Amino acid sequence: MKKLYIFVFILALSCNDDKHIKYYKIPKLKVVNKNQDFKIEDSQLSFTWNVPSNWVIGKESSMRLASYTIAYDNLFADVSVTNFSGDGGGVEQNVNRWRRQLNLEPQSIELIEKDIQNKKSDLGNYKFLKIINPTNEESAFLCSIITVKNSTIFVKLNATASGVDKLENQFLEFCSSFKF
Amino acid sequence: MKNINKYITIIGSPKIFSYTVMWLIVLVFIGTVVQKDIGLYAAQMDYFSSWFKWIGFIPLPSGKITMLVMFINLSCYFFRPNIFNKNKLGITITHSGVILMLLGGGLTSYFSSEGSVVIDEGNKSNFYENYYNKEFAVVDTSSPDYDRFVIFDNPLIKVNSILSDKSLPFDIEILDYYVNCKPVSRIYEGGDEFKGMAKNFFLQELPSEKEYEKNISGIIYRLKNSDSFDGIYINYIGQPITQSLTVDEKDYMLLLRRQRTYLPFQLELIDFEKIMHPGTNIAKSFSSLVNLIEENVPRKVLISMNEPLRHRGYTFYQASFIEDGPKQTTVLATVKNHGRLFPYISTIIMSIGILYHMLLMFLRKKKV
Repeated sequence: MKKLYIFVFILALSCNDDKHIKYYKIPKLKVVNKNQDFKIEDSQLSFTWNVPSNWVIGKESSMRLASYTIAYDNLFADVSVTNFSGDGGGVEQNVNRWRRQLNLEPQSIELIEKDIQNKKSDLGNYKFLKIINPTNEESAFLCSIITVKNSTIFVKLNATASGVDKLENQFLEFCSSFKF
Repeated sequence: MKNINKYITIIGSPKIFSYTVMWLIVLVFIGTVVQKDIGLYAAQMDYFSSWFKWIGFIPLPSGKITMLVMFINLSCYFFRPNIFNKNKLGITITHSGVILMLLGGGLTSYFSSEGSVVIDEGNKSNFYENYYNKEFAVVDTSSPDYDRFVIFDNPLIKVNSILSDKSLPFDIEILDYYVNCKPVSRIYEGGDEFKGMAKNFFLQELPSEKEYEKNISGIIYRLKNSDSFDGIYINYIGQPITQSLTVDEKDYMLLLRRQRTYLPFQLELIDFEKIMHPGTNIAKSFSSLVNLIEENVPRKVLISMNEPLRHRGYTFYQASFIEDGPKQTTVLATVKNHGRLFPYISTIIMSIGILYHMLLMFLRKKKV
């Protein structure tokens, strides 16, 4: 029994793992280049856009076509571009989902339409909307909905309420640069 | 030999066991009280996972050393003669149960890890991120097909540590490490030695959060031997702007991130479902239908709030979700604990030992 204990004790002491450096390689995720062409969902058409010079490629996500980060004040804004076939759930559903994310009550399509501004890009007209919750200015959205053929492109900028005001022109410039 | 037996008798004294149990009760009491102010993780580290708790310059034994003393003390029992005698068998079995429980505690302390797996609907993941430990990753992105990672683990991320590896053409000297911090923009642009984000931002140290996993850790480091990229940089958890550089015609990314553990299988989120309390935005229940893919063979499993998935030593609990766009993202709390079964087995063994001993005492009393 004593020998067994001494053996286990020495074994336990020898279990010190000093290898604190690891090596591995993994296949690349889809990398978004600034001038990459994207296929429109359910279509052979492809489109691209111009990125403002101060925008940096953001966190990669398989759900997004592209992500960008914009530094402003002491904070960062997040821009996402996604593309879905059909109407992607429709304007009313998507806008109300964004409103719920900001703890705002859902609205009827008539009220939503009043806040929507129609803008123009080479892909056609698109809808632009600013969503701010006056009681919580830490998070606010700038949203664009671009309908192309049988698919819808959603562009969303998430920043503080003051941030969305500051970045609104850059966002519109970005959305208007979408082209075939 | 006599001397050894004498020492074993002293070390194995039941008095030591009694004192260690009493001290553990004190530690559990203090740890429970202070965790209200310093948070659960910090209390656990201070009072149970460390060797000593320093009160000023006085070291008091923490949980780890107390339980080690208890383990050694109980182990001495097995050096006594006739322990498998009919009359002592119950006590021997009980001792074995306690020792097994302490061993399980040791295994859990050294080898268990916990974190979370985040998966978008329709996507797969084969890793989880630790809540507490960090790692510094140098990623060679030069290949068009894959990224090559060199990972420096949590113990290496400390002030004055030099991170170097023969596969890297540069060294990294850590100048400062903050458990919790935030980036603050500089009023004036930093000097020439500040590079990347450090040119316009600096890291401001903050007090540690009570919920340790909410800390945004950050490091300030100096890059050496990279020629034109030599300078001082900053990195913090979740930094939105990736620090990239090109040395010897190879592209590198430098990241400070939560420690990743890769799983020997993949999880694919097929569908995430949440049921809200009527008329509110509060989730009543949520569940994730996942494909557990092992050696290219998928198996559908439903993970819900009270029904975790247990597979190959890992347990996945439905913890939270993220909504971003029409698709949803699930957050699964993940635990790997090699000592998970030890408390159950040791409790059964202890119960058998105590019951046997009590039965023996009862029969003896009856005889008398």
